[in-house]
Amino acid sequence: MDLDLSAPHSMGTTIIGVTYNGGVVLGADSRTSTGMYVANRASDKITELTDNVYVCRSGSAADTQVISDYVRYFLHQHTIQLGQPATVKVAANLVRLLSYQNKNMLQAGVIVGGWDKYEGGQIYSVPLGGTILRQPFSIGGSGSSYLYGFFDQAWKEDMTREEAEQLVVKAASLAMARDGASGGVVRTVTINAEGVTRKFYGGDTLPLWHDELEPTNSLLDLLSSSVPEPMST
Amino acid sequence: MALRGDWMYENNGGTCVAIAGIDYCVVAADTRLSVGYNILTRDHSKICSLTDKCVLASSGFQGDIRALHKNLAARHLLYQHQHNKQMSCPAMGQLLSNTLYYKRFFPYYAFNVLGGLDNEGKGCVFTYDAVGSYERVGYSAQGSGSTLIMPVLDNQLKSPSPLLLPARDAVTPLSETEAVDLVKDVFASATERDIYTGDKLEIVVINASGIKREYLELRKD
Repeated sequence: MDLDLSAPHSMGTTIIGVTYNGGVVLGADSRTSTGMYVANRASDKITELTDNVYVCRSGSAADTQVISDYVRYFLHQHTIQLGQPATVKVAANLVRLLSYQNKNMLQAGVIVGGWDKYEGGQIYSVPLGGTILRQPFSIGGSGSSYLYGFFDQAWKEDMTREEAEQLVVKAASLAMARDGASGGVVRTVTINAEGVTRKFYGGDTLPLWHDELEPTNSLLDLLSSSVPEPMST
Repeated sequence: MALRGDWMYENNGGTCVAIAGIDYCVVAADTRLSVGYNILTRDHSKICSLTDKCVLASSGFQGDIRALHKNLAARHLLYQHQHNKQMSCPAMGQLLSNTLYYKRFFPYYAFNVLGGLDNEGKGCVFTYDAVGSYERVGYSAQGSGSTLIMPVLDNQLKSPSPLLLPARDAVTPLSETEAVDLVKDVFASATERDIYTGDKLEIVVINASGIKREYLELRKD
């Protein structure tokens, strides 16, 4: 049993952020691993920064939790001082500043997404190192390696909300099928002018891909009903 | 069994479990202290009562654990002087996370489970990694036997599935005695399969009437 339980929790992860005509859809898997052990199979990696801005976290769980806490605090103050909701750009830049200025010490790759009245739905990518890049869609985490080609083919401008949500769920489930560090369920958060909606896709609501088995209670049910061989020493 | 000349930690083993119920919380840990293949003592408590409503169980490196418990108890005393009341369990949860993250680059080698009652009297459990990432959950296991115990708790606790959101509200509908019996069962099984778990089990139950302690003998081999 070569589990390294002293390894800090890291979110192997697949995270996705996508804009559509009216807002953004953020999506993530739910697996948090310490080495080879799944410390949390139902984590929520999409965290609120303000009413209108959320962030998908990947990398070190502790680092991204602390960054989110600091940015939430700064944004709260900023909102009070500004007298109106913070913009997505400001939120993303606060994350970027913490990430860039502490780049040697942190392991945090995030996608900031939200809606504001000036620019509508926006997605900002802040990977390891602290680059900030606004994109129509963004993918991150270890599972994202499997999605570059998929998005090149499947992405299109001006999707409807339903198309965007389905794209995110499909992409996340593809990555979860191939990446050992991603798994569990798919959580999505949709942000637009009307507000925020959280959704959850688990078990048999997720599509199955090549060679994947149906979720069952026990694989023993698939074996024939013959008596199993007794173990021999 | 140091891995390199500058390796400052050691793992003293042991397992901690906490389960949150509707109006109670069970926190349990074995009492074996080991180094490598040796047992240093069969009678060492890993549990620290921080407040009347909040109990911390930690496994890992006992040197760091002693320091961490002492640190938190001192911070709590200060809080009581300044606020004229005890800290709530969620507040202590955040304090523990901040304390752990403070040493992000020279961590406390401690795997913690915090259990108690929240401000509404409902059971709450917080689970941590060594550098302070944390989450409120309905139940958790940490330490050398955690990988043996967690799947059993996933299966037995009849909590609303943690796959539904949010996991934080998943307190088990089991009664206090049923939860304590389950804890005894999982530790008995973990003792069989984990060499670092055994000797004795210390069970702490927190409910509206206060904190109650109970012991159970485990296998000593």
